[in-house]
Amino acid sequence: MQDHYDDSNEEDHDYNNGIFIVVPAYNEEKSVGNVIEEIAKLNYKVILVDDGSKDNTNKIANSIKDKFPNNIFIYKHVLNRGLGAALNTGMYASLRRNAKYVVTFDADGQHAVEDIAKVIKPLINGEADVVIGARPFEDMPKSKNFANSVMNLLTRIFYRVNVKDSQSGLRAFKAEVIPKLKIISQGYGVSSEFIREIRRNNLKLKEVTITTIYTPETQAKGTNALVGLKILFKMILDLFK
Amino acid sequence: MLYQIVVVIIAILAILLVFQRFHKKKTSLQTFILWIILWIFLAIFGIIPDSSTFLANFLGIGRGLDLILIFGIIGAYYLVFRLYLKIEKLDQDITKLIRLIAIDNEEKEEKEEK
Repeated sequence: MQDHYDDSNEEDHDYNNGIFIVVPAYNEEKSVGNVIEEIAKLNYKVILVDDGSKDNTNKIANSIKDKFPNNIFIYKHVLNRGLGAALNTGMYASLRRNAKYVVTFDADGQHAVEDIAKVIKPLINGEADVVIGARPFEDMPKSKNFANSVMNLLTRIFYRVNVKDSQSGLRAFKAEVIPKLKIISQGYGVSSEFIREIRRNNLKLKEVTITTIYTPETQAKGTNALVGLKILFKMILDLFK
Repeated sequence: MLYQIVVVIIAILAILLVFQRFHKKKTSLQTFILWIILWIFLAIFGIIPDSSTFLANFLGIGRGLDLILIFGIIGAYYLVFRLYLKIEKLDQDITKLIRLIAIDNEEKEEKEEK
C-alpha cells in the first residue's frame, strides 16, 4: 500500500487493493443492495455476511455481485447468529483473502460510503491501529442519543475506556491486529468488546467523526434500551467467568 | 409415616435409574457417584428425620428441613449457572460451525466459477 494516500483519488483503483469492507446483514433487503453497490463502485472489496436473513437479502446481494463479481464476496450463515458472530466471520474471511485493512460497515444504510476513506486514512498514515467512526450524538434522535450515552458510560465503567461512540458500526482495523482480538460476544455486545480488546492489547485508537444517516429503517435496529440491558447483563456475567 | 415410604421408594428408583445410565455409559463416574450419594442422604433423612437435625445443628443451622432446603437451593442455582455456561459454550460452537460452513461454501462456489 502506498503511503501518499489521497481522499480525492477514488478513481485510482490500485489504491483500494487490500481494503476489505465487512458488511453484516440480517434482513436488510431494503438497503443492502444500495450499500454494497456503492462500496463496490469505489472499488473496495466487499465481504457481505448474510446472517441467516429470511427476506431477500441474499438474492439482492447476489444480483449486485453479478455486476461486480471481483469485488463482492457473499458469506451466508445458515442460521442467524447475531452481529458479533457475523462481524467475526467477515473479519476472518477478509484475512483469508489477504486483507491489509478491514473496515466494518453497517448494512442498514446509516453510514456514508465517503467515510470509509476517512476511517482508513489514519491506518495508512500509521497514526492508529484501530479507528472508530464516531457519530455525533447531537444528530441522533433523543432515544438513540440516550441509549448510546448509557452504553458509553457502561463501556467506561466496565472496560475503563473513554470513547466518544462505543456502539458505532463503522470501524477500521489494520489486518495484523485482528488475530489479537478475542471477541466472544455474538450479539450487539461486540461493539463494547472491541473496545475492551483495544485496551487489552494496547492498540492505538483514533476516533474520526463521521456522518450518520437516520431513516426509519436505520432506527429500527441497533442499541435500544432492551439491547442495552442485555449487554449490561452479559458484561456482569462475564465478570464471574 | 407415609412420606418416609414415598421418599425411600423414590430414592431407590432414582438410584436404579442412575445405575442403569452408568451401566449404559451415559453418565460419567463423577456424576454417578454424586447422584448416588445425594439420594442415599435423602433416603437416610427420610427414614431418620432427626439425622438431618443433627447435621444441621452441627453446621449451625436451626432445623434439619432448613438445611435440606438451603442446600437444595444452592445446588439448584449452581446447576443453573453450570447450564448457562454450557449453553453459551454450545452457542459458540454452533457459531464456529456456521462460520466454517459459510466460508467453505463461498470458497467452493468461487472455485466452481473459475
